[in-house]
Order: sequence, then C-alpha cells, then structure tokens
Amino acid sequence: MTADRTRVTDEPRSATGREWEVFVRADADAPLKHVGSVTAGTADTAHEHASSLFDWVARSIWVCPADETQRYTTGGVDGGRSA
Amino acid sequence: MISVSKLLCDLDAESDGLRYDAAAESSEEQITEDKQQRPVVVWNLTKQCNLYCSHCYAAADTETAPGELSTAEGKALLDDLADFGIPVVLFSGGEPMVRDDLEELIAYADDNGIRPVLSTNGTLITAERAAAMKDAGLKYAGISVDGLPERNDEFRGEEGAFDAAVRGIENSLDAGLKTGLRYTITEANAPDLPEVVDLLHDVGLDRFCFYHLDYGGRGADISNLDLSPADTRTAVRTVCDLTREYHAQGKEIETLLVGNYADAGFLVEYAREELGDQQADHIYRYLEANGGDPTGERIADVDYQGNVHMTQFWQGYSLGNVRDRSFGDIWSDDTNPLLAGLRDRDDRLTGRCASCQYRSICRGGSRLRALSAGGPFDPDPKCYLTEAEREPERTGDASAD
Repeated sequence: MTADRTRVTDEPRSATGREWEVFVRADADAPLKHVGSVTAGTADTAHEHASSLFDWVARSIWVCPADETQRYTTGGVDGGRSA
Repeated sequence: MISVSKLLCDLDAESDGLRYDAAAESSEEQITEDKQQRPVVVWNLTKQCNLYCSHCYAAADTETAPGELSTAEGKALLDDLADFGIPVVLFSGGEPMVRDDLEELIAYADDNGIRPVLSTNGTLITAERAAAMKDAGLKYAGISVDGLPERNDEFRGEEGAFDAAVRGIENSLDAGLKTGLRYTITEANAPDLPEVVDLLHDVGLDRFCFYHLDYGGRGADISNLDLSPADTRTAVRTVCDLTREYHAQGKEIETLLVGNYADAGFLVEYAREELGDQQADHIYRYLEANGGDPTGERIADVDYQGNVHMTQFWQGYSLGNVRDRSFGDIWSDDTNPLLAGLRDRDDRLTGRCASCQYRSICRGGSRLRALSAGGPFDPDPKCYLTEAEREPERTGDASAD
C-alpha cells in the first residue's frame, strides 16, 4: 500500500510560531487521537494552548513539532510535490 | 451574519435562502434555494498585504510568507470544495489582490459552481482589474473602510488609504460588480459610523457589513480598543436606527452585523420595543432558522498554507491541512471532540449562557472570545445583553421579592 502514498511537501505550517500536532487520550484505555494542531513558541505553551481547547475531554495531551512530523498521504492537494 | 435590513425592514436579499431558509418568500434571485448545509469557506490566499492594519485577524505583513498554496494546489482545493458542495468561497488575505492568479482562481471557482466573492482593502482595484474580476465571474467585492479618512488611514497604517479605497469602490461599481462595505467597529471609529455610511452611500454603495472585533491575529493585541457593553449597545442601536431611517426615506440599503450573536437577542428586544410583539416573534423565528454563532458549522477557513480553521478569526488552532487530507474529510471528522462539541454545544454552554432565553439564536456568541476568557464553552465576554434581557423571569422574580 505504501506505493499509493506520497510524502507531503515540507512547506511551513505557520509564520507566527512553530506548529505543534496535538494528540489527546480521553480515558486510560482509550486510543491516542490526533485532534489538529496549534501554533506556539514552545512545547509548554503548545500544551497550555491545547489544554484550553481539550481539558474538558482529555486525560492526556501530547504535542509534537509539526516540522518533525513527516506526513504520507493518499489524499490532499499538493500531489506529493516533495515526494 | 445577521441582516438588520431583512429583519427590521423586510428587505429581500439574494442570501435569504442560504441564511434564513426563506428563499420562497424572497423576491430576489437566490444564491441557493435551500438553507446552507455546507460552510462558506474563507480562503486566505496570501499573508502578504500592501497595508498594515492594526486589527488584522490574519496578522498580515507587507512581505510574502513561505508556504502559500500554489495555483495548481488552489485549483485542487477548489475541486475539493466543489465536490463537497461548498456554496461560496470568499477570497481573502492578507490582500488577495496581490496574487496575480486571483482572476484565474475566481474563474475556476465560478466554472466549478462555487460562488466566488472577495474581501479586499480596495486600494488595488483599478478599473482594469475590476473589469477582469467581473469577467472572471466575481459576484461580490467587500471593501474594508474603518472610519472617516484620518481615522481609517491611522488604523490602516497608510496615509491616503481611505481615498484609495473609495477609488476602488468606484472602479468596482463602474465595472458592474456588486460591492459592499466592511467596517470593524471599535472604540476609536464607532462615532464615525453614520457619516461613513452617508459618505459611501453617496458614492453608490448600498450594502454595509459591520463587524464586531474578534480576538484573532493583531485583533487580540487591540482588545483594549474593543467597545464596552454599553458602547456596543449604542453602536448596534445606531445601525438599527440608521437602517430604518434610510428605508423610511426610500433608500433601500442592506445592513448586516457580524461577529457577535448577542446581536440576535438585542434585535429581538429592539423589535419588541420599536415594532411590537408580532414583529419581534417573526424576527425570532428567522434568527432561529439562521442558527446562531456559526463557528465550526456555517463558516470555515483555509489559510494560505492550507490549514483548516473553524472561523477565519481563529487561526491559532487548525483542524488539519488540505495538503494531506481533503477539506471535506477534515470538516466531516466528528471524531474531533472539539469540532463535535461545538456543533452540539447548546447543553455544554456554561455560566450566563446556560440559562439565557436567547441561547438557541445566539449559541454563546464568539467561541474565540470565549476561549480568551476561559474555555470553548464559556460565555462570550463581549455579550452585552442585560440580565433582565437574558433571564426576564428570574429578574422579574427577584424584583417581586
């Protein structure tokens, strides 16, 4: 199946700070779920921002730098320009 | 977006079906016959702008920023939006007219059955570009002016910006484009509002959109310039009075309020006071069909780097990116608890919203401003309704005690 995926271009995702992918776990035995991304200067600030959005539903929150996350997809509009 | 002229003066508009599920009652040709099922999409084509406005929600800059969707990516996005049934795409920025493929993208949207409209500062609308955009299929140009000349220019960071915007308005009208004003109300420019309407009506405008300040981008930096609740009431009342005065004189201006759904409750109260219970109840039903604050439902934003947001003002949080997932898949993903929660927010709203009689036509107001005050289901700190308006029975009981 990997042949059908292309790597998404490494274009920046924000001009006002670093972009952080956000993952939340609702319960101890629930799967970790990707819920979008936030813009923030540091991991702690990203966590704070994500907490304001997801505290009501999240037991755990992970934030991962978007620029360190390589995305491979079968959809999207860039057609795998950097693949 | 609440049409004051529709609700208070029964002025029909092409968006009656889209906004109020009232196409059959409207005398105007409709954008859609049915109430919208899919959001209007704001696409910030670029972060670059030729001006540097102090309230810019997109924090636009005079330099271009890396990562803009290319023309080919933009067309793929428009294909995606068309497949998903998006009724309207609003080309915005930055200043969208700095992109030299704007007309090509307008034509592509139009050819694919999406209504292309434009949000611009107007200063780059020459007669030639106005004609080119009209030929490409542009259906509407909303041009921002935020006060009388001196105040507007100070706000926009450039002397002569007001005059340049008026030239843009004239060029747009001359090309046969439907054209309207966008005016963000702050403490600084609220007193200018009636005079700006008079002045631009004389130029030929008949559509005026008044925006409450939302706290996105540089808008968050000037939240201290936001109107107090009392001044907001005065400004909204001015819009209502002015609309009725124009109509009484036979001048059919279209006026709209954007960005604070406390306006819905205020309009019902205003109508009850000025027009009677029957008209107030009629207006309430229209606002109920409209659906209150549109965050995550009737409005969406794709920024210049392809990030998808729940409104154009709320760009610090992204649901996903169209470079790796289709817009339709991102928007339909109800496994995102925030997106699903906001779409089913009525029983989650807290504080004064929980017991407000206007909850179903307001739905808590701006969720971005709510976030600035605490969390996504907290009350909008800029709700300006009084306790007696929100909970008449409770305050009635209290006064009886």
